[in-house]
Amino acid sequence: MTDQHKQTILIIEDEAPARIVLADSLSSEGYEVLQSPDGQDGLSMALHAHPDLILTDLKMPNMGGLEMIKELRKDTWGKGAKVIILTNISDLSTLQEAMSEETFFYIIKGDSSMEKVLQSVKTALAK
Amino acid sequence: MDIFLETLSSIAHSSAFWQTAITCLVLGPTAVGVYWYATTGEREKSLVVQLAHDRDTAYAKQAEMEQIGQMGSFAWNFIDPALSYWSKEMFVLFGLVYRSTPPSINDILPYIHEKDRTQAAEEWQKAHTVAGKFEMSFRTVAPSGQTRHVHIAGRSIIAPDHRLSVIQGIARDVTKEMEVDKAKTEFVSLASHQLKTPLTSVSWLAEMLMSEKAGPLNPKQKEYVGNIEDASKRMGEMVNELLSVSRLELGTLALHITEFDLKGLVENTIAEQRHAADFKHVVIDLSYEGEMPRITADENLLRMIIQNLVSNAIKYSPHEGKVQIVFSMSGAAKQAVYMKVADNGIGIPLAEQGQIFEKLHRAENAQVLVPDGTGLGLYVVKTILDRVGGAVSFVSKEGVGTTFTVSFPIAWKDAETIGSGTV
Repeated sequence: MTDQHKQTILIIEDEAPARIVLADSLSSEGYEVLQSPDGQDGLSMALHAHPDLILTDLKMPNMGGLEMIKELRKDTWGKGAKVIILTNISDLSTLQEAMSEETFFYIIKGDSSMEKVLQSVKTALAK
Repeated sequence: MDIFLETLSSIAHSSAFWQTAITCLVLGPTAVGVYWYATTGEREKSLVVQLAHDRDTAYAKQAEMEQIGQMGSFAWNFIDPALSYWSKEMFVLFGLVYRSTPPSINDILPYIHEKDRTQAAEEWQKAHTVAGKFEMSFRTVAPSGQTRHVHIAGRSIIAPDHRLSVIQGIARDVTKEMEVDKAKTEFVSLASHQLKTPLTSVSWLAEMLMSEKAGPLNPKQKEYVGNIEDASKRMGEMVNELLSVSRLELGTLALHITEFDLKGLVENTIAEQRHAADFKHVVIDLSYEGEMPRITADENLLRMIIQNLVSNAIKYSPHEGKVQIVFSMSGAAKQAVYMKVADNGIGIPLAEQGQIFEKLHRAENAQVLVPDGTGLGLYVVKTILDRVGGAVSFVSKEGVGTTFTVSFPIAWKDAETIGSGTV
């Protein structure tokens, strides 16, 4: 097992079946996986656990992903945290706003296989 | 109206009429009434009074009906402009104050929404040169700022000497219909978007099972899970198609224009279709006439155009059929790309060739062969091409095959012309 496989990934996603299966898949790849069902909970989990990578949905209860990222960037550690947006919103203006928050990439969930998500995770962690 | 004119004409042909006319000239207009009354028989007098009354009643009824139906009527007579008219409701549709002389086409252009003005001007121009029925839609913006959606159904009548005689027709306020249509489209957009979330779970769960990371599957289970994967993939494609259509219709599909290599996009897109082609043993013959340029366009939308045409060609080809795809550049200036997709498939029945670009329309023979198509593909292709200054046409013979020809500029128009927003 390489160092990469001990890295921690936080998944913030309100759709439980998608979150759980993605978590299982990442765990089977050897990552340490944390899960959160909304932006507010996800933010405090991120600020507490300092994961190596955050995968976040945009549309969620309590706090949306975009607001969560903005809050995250106010934190000293959070400023440089790696974030991938995992969404079904394919509206460019929302995505452009999210991308201006220095996230890595966005993944349109409905158009992407889990294999593709895994590849993006590996690329982001290797940077 | 016609009876009125006919009666006037029969009076004009009578000698009494000419006596009256000459007397008018001699005595002057003030004496006309007195002279007419004194020299005209009782029967003729009552007929004229009755006709005038009937005419006024008919006009009043027409005006009332037009007001109820939010519909106006118009006629521009270019041989005798005095016969041109605009009904009162026409002025209402443009938000203008009523006056007895109708405005000219140039007069009304400023009251057409700026985004619709160029196209409306072109369509009016076409009505000037092509005889027959025409239809057009645009938004009017009244001086008060009120916007209305107006639909025009008209007819151009060209005189035998080829001078234009008349453009006439009716205009209808379709604002409410457009609002209902927009609400429906927004609903489809929202529903499609919401469908994507559970659909993601279904396809990821199936993918996880298929990978056997959650435990081994027996062959039957593998087959079932494979079917779930395929079905969720197809559903995802349909949802994406519905989303694209609703965005195109709502005008919220912002163009994302980048510069890219056309050949690279073509080959990637066609590679995605190879699996479906191999399954039917359909040969895809892709060729280029000359060098393909780098273009500035919306990569996703162009991919959608190529995907739709190539996947249709494969779908409607026979087993071991052939799909020929040729890319070329137009003319010396090389400002447009041509794409030809020819198949030897079922062809489009002649009776349905006029409808194939209509939303949700599917030809009867296509429904038999591929029952679960959406009828959105060609509509999407045409809608995108219309927006970016491209075109699509086809020749087809049932049982022989179909050839689609698409052209699009190498530099697509800016996103602003398509509108922006969120769905």
